[in-house]
Amino acid sequence: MEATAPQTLSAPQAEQAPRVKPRQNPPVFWKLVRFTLSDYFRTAWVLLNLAILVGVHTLFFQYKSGQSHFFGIEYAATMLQAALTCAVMFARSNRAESYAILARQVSRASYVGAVMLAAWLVAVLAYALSALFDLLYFSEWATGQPLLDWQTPTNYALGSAPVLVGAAFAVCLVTLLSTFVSTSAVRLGTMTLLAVLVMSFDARNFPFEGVRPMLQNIPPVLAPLAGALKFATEQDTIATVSLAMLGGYTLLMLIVALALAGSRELVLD
Amino acid sequence: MGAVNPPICRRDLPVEASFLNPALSSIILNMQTANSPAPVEPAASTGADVSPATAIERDTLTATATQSTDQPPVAQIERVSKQFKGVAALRGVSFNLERGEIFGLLGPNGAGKSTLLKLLLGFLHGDTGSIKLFGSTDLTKAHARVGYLPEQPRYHGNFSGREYLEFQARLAGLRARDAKAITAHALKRVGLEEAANRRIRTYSKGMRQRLGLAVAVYASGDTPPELLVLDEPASGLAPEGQVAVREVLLDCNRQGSTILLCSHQLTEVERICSRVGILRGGKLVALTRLNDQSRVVIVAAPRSRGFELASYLIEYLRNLHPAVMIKGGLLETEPLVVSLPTGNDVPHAASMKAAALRAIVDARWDVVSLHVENRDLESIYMHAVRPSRKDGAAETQAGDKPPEAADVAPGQSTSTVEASSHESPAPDVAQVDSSEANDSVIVPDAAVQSETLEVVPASQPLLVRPVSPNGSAAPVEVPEALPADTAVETPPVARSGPSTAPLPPLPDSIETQTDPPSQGQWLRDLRREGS
Repeated sequence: MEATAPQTLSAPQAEQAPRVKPRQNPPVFWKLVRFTLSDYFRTAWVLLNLAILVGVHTLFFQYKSGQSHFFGIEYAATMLQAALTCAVMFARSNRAESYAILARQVSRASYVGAVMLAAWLVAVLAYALSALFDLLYFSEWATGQPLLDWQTPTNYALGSAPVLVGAAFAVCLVTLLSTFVSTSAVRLGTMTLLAVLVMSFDARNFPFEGVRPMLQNIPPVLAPLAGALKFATEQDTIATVSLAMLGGYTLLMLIVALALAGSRELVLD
Repeated sequence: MGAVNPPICRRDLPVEASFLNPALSSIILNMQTANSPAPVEPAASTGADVSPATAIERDTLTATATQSTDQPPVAQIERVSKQFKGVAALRGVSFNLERGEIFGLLGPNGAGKSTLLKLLLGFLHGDTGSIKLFGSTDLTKAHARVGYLPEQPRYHGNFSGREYLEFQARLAGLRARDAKAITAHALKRVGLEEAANRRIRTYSKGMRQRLGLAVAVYASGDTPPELLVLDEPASGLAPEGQVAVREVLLDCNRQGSTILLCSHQLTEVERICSRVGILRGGKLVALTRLNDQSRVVIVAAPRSRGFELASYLIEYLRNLHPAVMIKGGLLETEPLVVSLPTGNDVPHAASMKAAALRAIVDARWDVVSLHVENRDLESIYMHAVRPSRKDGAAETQAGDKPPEAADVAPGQSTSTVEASSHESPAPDVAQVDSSEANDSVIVPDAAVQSETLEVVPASQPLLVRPVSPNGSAAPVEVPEALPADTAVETPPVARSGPSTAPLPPLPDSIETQTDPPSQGQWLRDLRREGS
C-alpha cells in the first residue's frame, strides 16, 4: 500500500494554486459539530451506544410498557447514553489531534460547545431510535394489537421534554468533569458538591456525625432531577418547575463549562 | 561578488578632515575610488556552509526580511516566562519575528521550544510577559494568518487525507467548492494524491508529515499563511523529502511568509534561516543572524594620551562600514573592541581591516589582540547549549530537563515565582545592544574560531597574543612584570579546533569578557611597565 504512495513532495513551481480566498471570521461551529459527529460515528464507540440500546430493550421493554414506565426507562437510558458519549468525545478531543483544529480560528469555547452539542445529538438519536423501535416492535402491524392509549404524538412530544433536558444535563455535567475543560481542582470540587448534595437527601447514614445536622439543612437541590421526570406523565406545577429548574442547572453548567474552557490551557497527549 | 564594489567608507565622511595622517587618508581615498575587486579574505573553513547557493538563499531571505518595515513585527515576544509544577520551562524569553524572515528556534530536548510555540499560538498562557501576533494580543484571531505544523503531527485517523484537508480548508474559511479545489492542489503538492482517499491511520510517518505540511501551508488559500509555525517539519522524511520541504519553505518565504522553524537539524536551519535563537533551560541564550558569520575582531587599549583621540577613532571606525560593531573604548580603562565584517561577500574587507588597524595605531592605541571569528551554527549551538559554571547548580536544583508542556499533566501550571536558584542572573550569552534591538546580538564567543592573526607594526610594543589553531595563546610580547592572572588576550575570544570537539568552559558573557574586574589594574600595570 505505502509503496504506491509517492515519497517526495513536488517542486514548488509545479502548479499554480487555484485562486481562492478564505472568508473573514468564517462560521466554524456547525463544521465542528459535523466533524465531531463524523469522527465519532467512524469509531467503535458507536457500538457501545447500540449495545446500550439493545440492552435496555432486552431488559426493560419485553412487554407493552405504560407511559411512566417507558419514559422512566428512557430518561435514565438517554442520560447514560449522553454521559458516555460525551465522555468519549472529550477523551478523543483531549489528544494532540486537536492542536491542528485549534490552530485555526477556532476558540476553545466553540470547540467545547460543538463537542457538547454533538454528544447531545448522539443521545437524542439513541432516544429517537429507541422510541421508534418500541413503536414498531409493539405496533399493530407487528403484534396485531392496537397501540396503547398514551402512545399519541402529543404524549411523546411532552414526554420527550424531560428526556432531552436530562440528556443535556448529563452532557454538561460530564463536560464539567472532563480533563479537556476543567482543572483537577474544578473536577474535584464538582464531585464533592455532587456528593454533598446527594447525601443531603438523607444524612442519617453520613459517616461524620457532626456534619449530619448541616447536611439536613441543605435544601434538596437535586430534587428537580427526579421531579422533571414527572413532566413526562403529568404536566402539573411541580413537574413544570422541576423541569425548568433542571434546564436552569443545565444552562448554568453550560456557561461555567464554556467559561472554563476559554481560560483553560491546552496540554494534550 | 558583484561587478561593482561599493566603497567601504561612507562617502559623507570627510576623510580629509579625519585625524588620520595624510598617507592613510590617501589609502582610504584610493579605496573609495577603486574599481577593481578588493583582496578576498580567506574563506571560513570551520565547517560553516558558505556555498553560493546558501549565500543566494540568504540574500533572498535578507532582502525579503527588510521589506514592509513600517508594519509591526509578525510576532513580539516580551519577557515571557512559564512554569510547570514550579519548574521554569521558559524564563524571560524576548525576541521579535520580523516580516519575511525565516527564524530558526533551536535548543536541546526540554529547552522550552515547543512550550514557546504553544504560547505563541495561545494554547498555553504565559505566567509573565506578553505575546503579540501581528500587533494583537488576540492570538486566536491571529490564527487566520497562521499555519501550524505540530511536532509529530497527529490527525484524526478515521478520515482520509482528502476529507481532513477539506475540513481544514473549510475551517480556514474556504467555501465548499474552493475547499475541494485547494485540497486537490495541496495533495498534489505534497505528493499524497494516490493516498488521498486512504484513512490517515494507514499513513506512514513521512506521509503524515507531508499531510501536516499541506494543512499548515496550503489549506488556507491560494497563498501560504503570513506566519508559518513549524515544529520539526522535516522530521521523519527521507532526504529527498527534506530537500523538498526546504524548497516548499523557501517558496513560501518568497511569497511573503514569515517562518518560525523549530528544528534539531542544524544543517537545514543553517541553510535556510536568516536568524536563529537558541533556548537552553528555558532561557534564550543566543540570538544571532546567520548571514554575517565571519568578522575580524580587534581589541585595542589606549597608550598614554591615546584616549584623547578615542571619540574620533570610534567615529572613524564606525564609518568604515555599516556593519562595523564597536564596544567599549569610552572609558580610559575600557578596551575598545572593534568587530569588522569580513568574508567573500564583503567588498574591500582586507583594506577595511588595514585601515582600521592603521587608524588604531595612529591614534596611539595598542592592538591587544586580533583574530577572525568564524561562526558556524554548530559551534554556536554547542556553546550555547552547554551549561555554564554559573547556572549549572541552579539547573541541577531545578531539574536537568525542564518539562515541555506535553510532559506535564493538564492544569498544573503555576504562576508562582521562580525558584530562588533561578533568580541569580543566569548568563545570557545573547547580549542585546539597545540601539540595535533584536538584530545585533552577539553570539557566544566560544563559537568563534580563530583563523588568522596579524601583528600590526607600531612604534610602541604591541601586546598581541596570537592564537594557535589548538586554542592555546602564545604571547608575542608581554611585559615581564605583567601578573600571570591578568590575561592580556582580553577578551579571550579565540577558541579554535574542530567544531565538534568539546570546548573548554568559557566566561559567561561578552560583557564580562571585555570588562573584567582587573581591567583597570592591568592597564595601570601596563602603563607602568611601558614608562
